[in-house]
Amino acid sequence: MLDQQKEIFREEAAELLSDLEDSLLELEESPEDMDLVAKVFRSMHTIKGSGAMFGFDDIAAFTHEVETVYDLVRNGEVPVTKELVSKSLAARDHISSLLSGEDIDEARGEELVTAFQQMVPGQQPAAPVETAPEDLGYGLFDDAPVEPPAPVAEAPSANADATYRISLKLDRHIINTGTRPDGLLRELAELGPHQMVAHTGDIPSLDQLAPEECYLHWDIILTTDQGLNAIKDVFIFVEDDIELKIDVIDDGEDPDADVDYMRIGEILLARGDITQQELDEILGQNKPIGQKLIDSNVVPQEKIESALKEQEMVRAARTQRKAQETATSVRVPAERLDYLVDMVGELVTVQARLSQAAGMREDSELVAIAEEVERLTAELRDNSLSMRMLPIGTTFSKFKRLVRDLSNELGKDIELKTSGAETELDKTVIEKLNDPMVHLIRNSLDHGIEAPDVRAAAGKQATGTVLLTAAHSGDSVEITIQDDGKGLDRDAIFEKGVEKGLISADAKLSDTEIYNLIFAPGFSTAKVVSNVSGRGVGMDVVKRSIDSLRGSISIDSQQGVGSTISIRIPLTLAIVESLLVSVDNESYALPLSIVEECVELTRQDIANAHGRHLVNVRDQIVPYIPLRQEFEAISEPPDVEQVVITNLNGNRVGFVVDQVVGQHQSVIKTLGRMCKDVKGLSGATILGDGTVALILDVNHLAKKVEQEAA
Amino acid sequence: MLNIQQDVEQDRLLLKLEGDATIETASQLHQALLEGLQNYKDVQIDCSAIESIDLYALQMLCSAHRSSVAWEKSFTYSGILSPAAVSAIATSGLKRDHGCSLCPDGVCCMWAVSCTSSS
Amino acid sequence: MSATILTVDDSKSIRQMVSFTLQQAGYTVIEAEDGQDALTKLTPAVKLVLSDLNMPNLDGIGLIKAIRANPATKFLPVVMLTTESQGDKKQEGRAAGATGWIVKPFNPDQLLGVVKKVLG
Repeated sequence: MLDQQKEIFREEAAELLSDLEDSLLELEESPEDMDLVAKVFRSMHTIKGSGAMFGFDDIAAFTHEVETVYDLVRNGEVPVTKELVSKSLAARDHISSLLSGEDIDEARGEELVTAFQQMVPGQQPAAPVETAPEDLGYGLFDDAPVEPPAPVAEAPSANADATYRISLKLDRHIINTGTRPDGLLRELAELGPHQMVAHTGDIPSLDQLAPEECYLHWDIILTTDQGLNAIKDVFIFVEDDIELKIDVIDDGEDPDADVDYMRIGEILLARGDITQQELDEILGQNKPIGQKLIDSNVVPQEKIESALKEQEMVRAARTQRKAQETATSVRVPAERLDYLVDMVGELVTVQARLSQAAGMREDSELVAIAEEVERLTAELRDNSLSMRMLPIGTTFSKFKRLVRDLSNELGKDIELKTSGAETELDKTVIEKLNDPMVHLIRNSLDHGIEAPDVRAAAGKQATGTVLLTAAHSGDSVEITIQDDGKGLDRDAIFEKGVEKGLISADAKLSDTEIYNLIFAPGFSTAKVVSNVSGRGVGMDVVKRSIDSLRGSISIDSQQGVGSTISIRIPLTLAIVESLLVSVDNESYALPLSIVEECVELTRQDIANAHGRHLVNVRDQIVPYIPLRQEFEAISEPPDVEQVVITNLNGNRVGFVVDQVVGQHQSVIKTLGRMCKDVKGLSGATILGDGTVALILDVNHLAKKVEQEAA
Repeated sequence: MLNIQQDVEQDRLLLKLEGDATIETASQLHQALLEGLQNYKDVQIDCSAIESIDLYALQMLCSAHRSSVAWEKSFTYSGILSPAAVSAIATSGLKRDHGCSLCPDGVCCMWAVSCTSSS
Repeated sequence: MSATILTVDDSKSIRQMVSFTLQQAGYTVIEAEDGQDALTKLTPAVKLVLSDLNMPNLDGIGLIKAIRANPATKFLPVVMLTTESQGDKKQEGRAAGATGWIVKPFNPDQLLGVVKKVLG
């Protein structure tokens, strides 16, 4: 509610209270004056009604008690006494203090409530204050308990497309309350696809007709996903003025329901338009049933028409559902998909060989075929990879439970919010992400979010929030875990780092570098070891898991405000577009997604840099790593080398190679147990000619440059 | 607002309805229809200029048609129905594939799609 | 063209709240302080009346009866604003020809829901 409107209410209520005081004093003088009683009642009534509207629930509840008594006074059931007037004046003062929010004497308020409750004859003091109005907030003439238009079948849940048979007869004089039957039909029609048949049988001849009475009644077949109550709500104002019968004729949930539905005879029988005997007699004749029924004159034409429409609607709804059911999905074991992706990987490799061989033969026909195979292979690859993509939301929901249970255990009030649950990632990546994510969330809950009293003291909301987001970003997915807890303690981490011998006491480190210390093995800053986390193992394990997914992890924090951990993971582990380069006659691959450009590096350029590994790219200085040096090449470098400029988390880093070979779809193979810890390499791939190219771990290599620069 | 224009040609009365044939104007329409059918052998109704029409007016047309059959008179449409009238007939559930059981053989129902008013 | 709605309430704050909500939704709103005031402001443009029940001079029931008695307004929808304690008043209102009912306190969505329902 707008503050401005609240203010208007305050002013108005103050006026009313001042009038009320005058009225009450007058009433004391002339207790028989019913006009004064009515005035007092009205004042109370307005204060109560408006109070509730503008959020002054305490005023509304309190005034309700006084109003109740004055309603009885108004009806002559309770006399005006000196005591009533003085209690009323006290009540007026209490309302006034509730209104200003100052000097509220709650005990006095309760005393007054009890006093007024006792004035109601036959009422126990503990009479409950009336509760909120019915769900809709707007009401119906609910004091006349007429037989509710009970549904025959069990009410289907909302959301399923159920089909209803609605029989509606309005009170002839319905217009006398200003209700337009057309509006009711329109509202009903808006609920979903429908067939409506108006029965005209009751319309009298023109000289007998009263033009302002409604003679029509209807059979309506309606398919809607809004549920039975939505239908009833259409008639909420006119419940007492209509005959309404709602039958569920198709609950929308049984996909095996016979599309044929009922025969016309059966529908009429179910509706009570015909008896079994009449039906049997007619069925004996050898004609189409519809015709027989019409000929027999047992059932009026329009009832048959209505029944036909019912048949049509239900058949349509069921046919549609059948079609949907068959089109949705096929379940396939995950291993089969994994196998498919492996096979596609092999195929990509073979296809590369085919292209290379075809290119060497200079046979245009073969080249054409090879190109065709290349195109198909790419499509097949994309398709089979997308089959393994799953929305990350499946893991998110598991975390909801985790947060709930852990926050109970820790005695903290923590809410998990998520966004981007629909972001798709390779199934195997999602599986491998689970453990590190659990660990990070536990950390946020345990070390990040403070206990409720600490939060309150810091002026924060008692409920802590952990926000989990996922979003696509290029060929990778960025996942963040953000908490509004106390943030990382920079100094504590620094001290701990010194203590553990990770850094020297006089080291000058940036915030990011300090925060990154928590990823070092055996690092933990929590003073109390809880059974949630804090055993000192973990963050380094998390880091390793993310590394094994070819991902990166970074942390950002602000003391007192919270921490954000960001994880970047490539979409898929199986195949990566890469740039093939050669160094010292060996092939290497770099992920194409990080490559920005390639520039030449001449001997002159090297000489100009005076021994430092820097290259000038269009007036920008970019550090580079000479891979020849890195891999201890012995052969002579070519006169002009190439620098592959990459973008690593915003920093440009060059890699000097002998030659840039070209683009390659690399099916990633692991290096095997013996070589898996080799720094600077993340895997291998097989080239078209059957040779092996090593995939560079650019992040690791780039760190060297950073360290050298420092 | 409903304007009912009356044109007489021998035994035939043409009632042209213009504007809103709704509950507010129901009595006016009733009177015109009743007087027309009482005084003329053939009453034609032109609904081409109707801007809105509700159930009360529609049921009156139905009643007029039925009465005309009973009184051995003729009650038919003249000209086309306005779009508002066409949609009102459909949304009120009056539209029929066949005439109603109260329509005698050979006489077209006001609501049937299969026959026109040209009889 | 948006419909015109007449809101009748002796409480200025309620009138303003109703006006504000309806105007935001694109309706034209006329305000009246009580039943008598409402009758003078009842033009043919008014398509719906939202009226409180307890008002000085002419109360809600009286207003409904007057509206129904006038041939020009006898089919005009009238929705009553009431508090939950007025069960008997509801019946009285219904007998007098009220179209519908909205229980105070209500929120803007509920109000618009009722208005949309009655005006179509």
